[in-house]
Amino acid sequence: MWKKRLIALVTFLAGLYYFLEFVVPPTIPWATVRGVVVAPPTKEQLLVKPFVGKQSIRVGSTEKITREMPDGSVSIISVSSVKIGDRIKWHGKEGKVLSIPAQGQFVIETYGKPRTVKLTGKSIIFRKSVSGSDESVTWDYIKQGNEVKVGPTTYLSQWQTNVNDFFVVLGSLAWGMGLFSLWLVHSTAIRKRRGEWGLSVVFFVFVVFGVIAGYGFGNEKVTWAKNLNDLAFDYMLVPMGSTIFSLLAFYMASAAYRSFKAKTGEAVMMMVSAMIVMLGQIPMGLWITKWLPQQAQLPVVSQWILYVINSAAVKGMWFGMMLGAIAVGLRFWLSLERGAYFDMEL
Amino acid sequence: MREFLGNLQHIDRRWVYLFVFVACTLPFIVTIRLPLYVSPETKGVYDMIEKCPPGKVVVVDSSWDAGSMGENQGQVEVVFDHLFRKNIPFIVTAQGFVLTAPQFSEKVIEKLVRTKYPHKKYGVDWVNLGVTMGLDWQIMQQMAKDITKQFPKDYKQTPVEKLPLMKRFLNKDKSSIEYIHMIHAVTYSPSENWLAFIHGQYGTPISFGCAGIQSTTYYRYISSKQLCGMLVGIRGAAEYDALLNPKPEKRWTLGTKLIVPLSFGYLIIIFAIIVGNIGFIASGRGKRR
Repeated sequence: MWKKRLIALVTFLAGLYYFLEFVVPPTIPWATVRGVVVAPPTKEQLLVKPFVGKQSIRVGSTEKITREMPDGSVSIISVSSVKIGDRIKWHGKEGKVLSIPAQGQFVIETYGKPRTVKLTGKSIIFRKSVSGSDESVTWDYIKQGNEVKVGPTTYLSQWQTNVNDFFVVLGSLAWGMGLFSLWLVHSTAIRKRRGEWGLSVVFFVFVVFGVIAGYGFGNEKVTWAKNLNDLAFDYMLVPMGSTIFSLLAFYMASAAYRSFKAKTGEAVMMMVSAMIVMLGQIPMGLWITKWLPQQAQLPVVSQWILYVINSAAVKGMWFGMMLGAIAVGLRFWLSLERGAYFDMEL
Repeated sequence: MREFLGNLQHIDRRWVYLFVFVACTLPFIVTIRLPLYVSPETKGVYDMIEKCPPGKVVVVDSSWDAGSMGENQGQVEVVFDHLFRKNIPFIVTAQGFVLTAPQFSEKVIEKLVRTKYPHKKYGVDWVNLGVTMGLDWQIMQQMAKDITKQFPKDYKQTPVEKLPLMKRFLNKDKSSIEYIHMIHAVTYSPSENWLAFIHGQYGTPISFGCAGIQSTTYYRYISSKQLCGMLVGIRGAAEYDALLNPKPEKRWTLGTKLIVPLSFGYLIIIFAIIVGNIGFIASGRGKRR
């Protein structure tokens, strides 16, 4: 029983972490400074000109404005080129554009007096990229003119990498377990001379072969290892992989023949649209309907089905699936799931 | 007659297999050329590569292996050909448990260099950074911020500092994504996280190369402009080849080679469905329902 409780507790804590990480900001809001770096940064501090207030300015349509990019570069632009989020300078007034109520009228977020922000081990720095997104960087990535957001961490986002790494470790363990399990199954089969134990021997031979051949991967010079790697890759792995997947063509044709029947109106509709899309995907579709007006040619009709009808159906399906996923996720998180594995005693 | 037609729904499946085999093999023996309609999703990828400004690179995330080689190989062949032709440097990456993916992409590039672009140099015109593992969205975010941290060495274990093409990414003033014009993700089913974590956050254009069967879930992203284009299976590769080489005799990629066998295979499937339904209706089962 304690094992189940432990699993429930760990699941709940993991879910709680991700929920909080999603809703809690990465830095403490009241201690966070947002602004522009005005001096070369050091490991200990940043000199930042913070955003403090709002001001409305009106600029003549023929006047020029200085725009500062988030990376510190400067350009002269016309009034009509100013966008929300731009940092602009005009006749001693400067700030970040919050809104543009009318042509030439800008509401800007103005700067306050420069202030020193001490950097400690708990500080997180976000640098605004040219594309407008915030990126978490270390102080040595910052240069004068960069727009930044600095503040003490709320820890949650900082732990994200470690928490995610835990999943990677779990995944790697699963691979290790898989290999161990294969070794256990096949070695037991050989030891006890079970039916088809020869195939287990083949398994071990090819594992060893694969490991040795792997040494030749990436070799520029032609060596025995490279030849072995090429042999394994070009003449075994590629043809065998392709062969297995190409079998699908035969099974699909056979399955379509046996089960795609016009049993209901919906089935007929599906069959007709499938045929149009299939013909539209291949040159034959164009060849057959080349004499028709372009809008009635099979590739164009097929595109319409894919872009309009198919997209609408897929969006609806995904919406439903995601709602279902949220419901199932909540049930898992709160250990409310019942049936099959969940009712088993561990 | 009715009985004969009714029996059409009970043809031995081995006949179906034989027809598929003959239909897919015949075009390899007899040369057949068919007209191609270039779809807007293929044109979208082509146009975006054409727009690449000087100084920027294209990232091709080539995470496919033998399983989807038939569809994905042609898709990277045409894109690499286009990039070489336009002198656009490119970076090849791979992610996930497709450990042989770098070998597949490198074989394609080696063939192109050997046959069409002998003056192209590894490390200058392209690099192959190999495969990396982890949560895909974390990898994407790290690639955008500093690609050299996610891929400190290339697939030959050469440190990225020694590769001339990668030197620009060592400049800490800019994020790696600012040097990247677009990302073309090619695999059986590319991750939608490219759209959320790269296009959504940085606005970098994303295009996909995917298996035909997976494409239906991605069309909505083209309509919403989150994807700039998509190469759909063999058809996408063949269409792109047609854009690169308007003269049919100059087309050479795997997509072009496979589009005719694929067409014949599709025709057999359509023919089989029609025959099966004639039998179904003739046997009266259609009416009773």
